[in-house]
Amino acid sequence: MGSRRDLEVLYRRHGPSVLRRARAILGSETEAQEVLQDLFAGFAADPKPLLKANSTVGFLYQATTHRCLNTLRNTTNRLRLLDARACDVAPRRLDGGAEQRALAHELLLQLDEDSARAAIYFHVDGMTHAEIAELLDCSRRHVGNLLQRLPATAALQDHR
Amino acid sequence: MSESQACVSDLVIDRYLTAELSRDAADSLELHAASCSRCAARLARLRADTVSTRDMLPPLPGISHSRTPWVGMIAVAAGLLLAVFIGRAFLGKGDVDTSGREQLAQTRTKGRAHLTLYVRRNDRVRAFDGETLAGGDAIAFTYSSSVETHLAVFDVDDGEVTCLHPTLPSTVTAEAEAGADVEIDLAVTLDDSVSDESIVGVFCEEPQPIATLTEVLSSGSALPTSCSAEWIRLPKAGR
Repeated sequence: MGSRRDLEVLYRRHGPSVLRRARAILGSETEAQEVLQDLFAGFAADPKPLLKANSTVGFLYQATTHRCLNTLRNTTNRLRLLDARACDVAPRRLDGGAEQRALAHELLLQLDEDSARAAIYFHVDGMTHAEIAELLDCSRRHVGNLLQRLPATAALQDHR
Repeated sequence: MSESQACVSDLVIDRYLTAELSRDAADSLELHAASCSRCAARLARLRADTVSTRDMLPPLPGISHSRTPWVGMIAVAAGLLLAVFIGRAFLGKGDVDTSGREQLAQTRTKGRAHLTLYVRRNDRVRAFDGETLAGGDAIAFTYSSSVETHLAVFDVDDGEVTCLHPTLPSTVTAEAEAGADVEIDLAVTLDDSVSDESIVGVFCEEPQPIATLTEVLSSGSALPTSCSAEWIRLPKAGR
């Protein structure tokens, strides 16, 4: 295992779930595609972490979540790009789904890394505390504590 | 999430679909799905999504491929009406409402030079994803290219082609250094007209006259061999 051909097989097998999760987290097909391409471009350069993982699915869940959170942070930084422009933006309501998603993103960005990951695993992927503990490499009690501290908001719960 | 303990997560379903579950765990999942309509539906949905997406995945990054078919597909979506302000300059007009996401059809290959559009609405910014836009939405542009390139950005409105970047007095494509998500000195704010239009990014290995590229895009003839074009459709609806 380790050839380009092997990576191609993994890409075809696991790419759909990476794309689906990135789409669910980011709410953007374009950004989801970027996440998929970025991840596998990295594995093409250094396939060891992927190939050494005990669970390929679990490893890709971790990597996708991490990459998506980075994308959210980078996208937020784009505000500065737009604010530098003389755009005359009129106030306008978002549709309900986009509003909820934007709120969920804002909440995720306010959380520390572990809490944000736990929130995604719980609300987007529907994982149990035990499964989250496995991916975060921590105890179930710690997961319970992380989730208990999450803001009580419908935005995250409806993010799935 | 409010599933019972017996219900399975997407993680387990993905492990099942990729044959990563043990036989016992797979049997357990199948047994549960047989009696839980919610999990059965999720299993069916994820399986269908996996199968349909697999065939539409873009090439594995790092492999060189020829121009993808979606470029042509999106090209025929051009010719829709548009109205934008560019800086302080009013460009367009409009009518007609078309919506819909190109989603996987807009797949791009990593490494290929491309534009990224960012939409700001109510002070929230997100990458443009083919969604329907509205008057008041502000759009900023960045490009990504692994090599130094020469760039021009056009608006195509019902066959009428207008160069948005670079602006006059430049008469040739703008030099663009290699980089990811490099800001372009261009921003537009959509007005209230209900219309669609397309943004076209043209990347060339060498400087090209804007007039030549404008003529090519207007006539639908072939671009110079050193150039490639990315068409991005902007569906637009009124407030």
